[in-house]
Amino acid sequence: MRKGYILFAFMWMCLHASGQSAPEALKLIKEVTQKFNKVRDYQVDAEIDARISFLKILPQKAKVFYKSPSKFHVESKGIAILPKQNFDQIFSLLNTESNFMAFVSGSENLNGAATSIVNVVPLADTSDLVLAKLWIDVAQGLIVKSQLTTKTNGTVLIEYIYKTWNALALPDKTIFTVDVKRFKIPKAISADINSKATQEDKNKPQKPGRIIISFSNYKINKGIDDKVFAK
Amino acid sequence: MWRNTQTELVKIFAKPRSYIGFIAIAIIVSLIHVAMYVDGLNYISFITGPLESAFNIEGKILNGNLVCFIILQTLIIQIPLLVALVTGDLISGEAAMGTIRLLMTRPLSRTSVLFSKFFAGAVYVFILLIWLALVSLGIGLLIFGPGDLIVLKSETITIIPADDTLWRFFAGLGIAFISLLVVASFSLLLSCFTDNSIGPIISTMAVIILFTIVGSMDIPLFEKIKPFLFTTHMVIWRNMFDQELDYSLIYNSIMMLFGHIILFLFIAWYSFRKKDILS
Repeated sequence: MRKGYILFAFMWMCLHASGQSAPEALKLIKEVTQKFNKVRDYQVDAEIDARISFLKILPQKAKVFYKSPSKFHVESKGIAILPKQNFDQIFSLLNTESNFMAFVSGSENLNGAATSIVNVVPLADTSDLVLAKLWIDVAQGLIVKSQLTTKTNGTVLIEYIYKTWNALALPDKTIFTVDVKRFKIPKAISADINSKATQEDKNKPQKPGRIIISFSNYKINKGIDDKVFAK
Repeated sequence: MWRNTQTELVKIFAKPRSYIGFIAIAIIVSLIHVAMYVDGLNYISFITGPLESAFNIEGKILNGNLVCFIILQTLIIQIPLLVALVTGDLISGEAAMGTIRLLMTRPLSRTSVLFSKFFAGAVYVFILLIWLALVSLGIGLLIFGPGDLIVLKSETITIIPADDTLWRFFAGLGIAFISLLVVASFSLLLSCFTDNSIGPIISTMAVIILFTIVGSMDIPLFEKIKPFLFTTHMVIWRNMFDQELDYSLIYNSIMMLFGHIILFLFIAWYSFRKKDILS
């Protein structure tokens, strides 16, 4: 009986929400997108620090290029590990109101900042993104945290730290937290005959992977040749 | 001793079989280079697949450093055979041809004869490794260019910056040289006990295969034996490609390899000195 009530309540919420996006959510989203929409293009130096349990890699320097509406390119001298999600992916979705429905599902205090939690559901069936949960700093009009649930890559938690370019919603640091599976290949393939995983290692829960990207030296709206994105 | 070693080197390089190693390495490396050039990215995706399911990998993954590492990893099992082909024949080959008695009539001590042969074998191994480095790393870098190296272990992936790889390759080849000296001394030891070349060569390979199988199986009984098998320490060259080097582990393995060389040479020397040469 109790389960029935919960199911009914959930269905009512979904039907209610699918009718239209909550104005409060749209207002918050608009504030955020208005800032980012001032950016036609940018080029920024990035330091990518991948902290994944099975991966040993030193922080890598790279250059990130973006051109509105959705051109994105990362150039690194060496091998860099990046999250599947582009940094601007969420803005591409939020730019067109007809692409999604949104509603405020609560509020939270994050590092001293009052945030509203906005749930965004893309309307297109073809979208890889299933649900985006955004923590929007109400006072500054910035996304400070987002949780993206995708069809292909599971759930990704992204934290944004702003210092220099608050006015344009460009972060100085972005931290991606991704669920990773245990990495294991047969010894015969890796020719790693001396390795041995203890039972204790095998039973340890797999820690989520973190990719910390620090941005510096933004060059905004200086114009970027399209050839850069064709590489 | 050096003159004897030179004479032994001339004997080694006078035999056609001594060139099999160089030709085999050139053919295998060329085949891998061609295969990687044509379809390398597909092969690499097999390695990077688990990582790419969660992340994007930016940068030049297929490069000369990676191709060289793959070649070394593949060849390290076969190279002992190529070494044993020459060093397993050093004493027994002379016995089979009947020249050992002639050799013993020269005013040379048996110790000098044995160690000259070992040093000549060591020079052969060194030249073989230089050849391997030249064709795998040198030509690999020319074809594929430099880049960060992805090192695959059974439970981890290490990515080493391109400018930090060259010294690791040379250090790895240095350790491989010591490892192959173990094979050379072992086959030389077996060579002292027989009068035909095939026996020591086949026996050396059989022992290496057996030890490698024992070393790769995670069975508790074998765990106790593994530290004493020279094959366990022969693969320590791969540890030069860890991000943080475990110097004590590498040092211990090198000492174990030297210990094996000394032990095999001592037994070889002892038996050769006492050997009743009848052939």
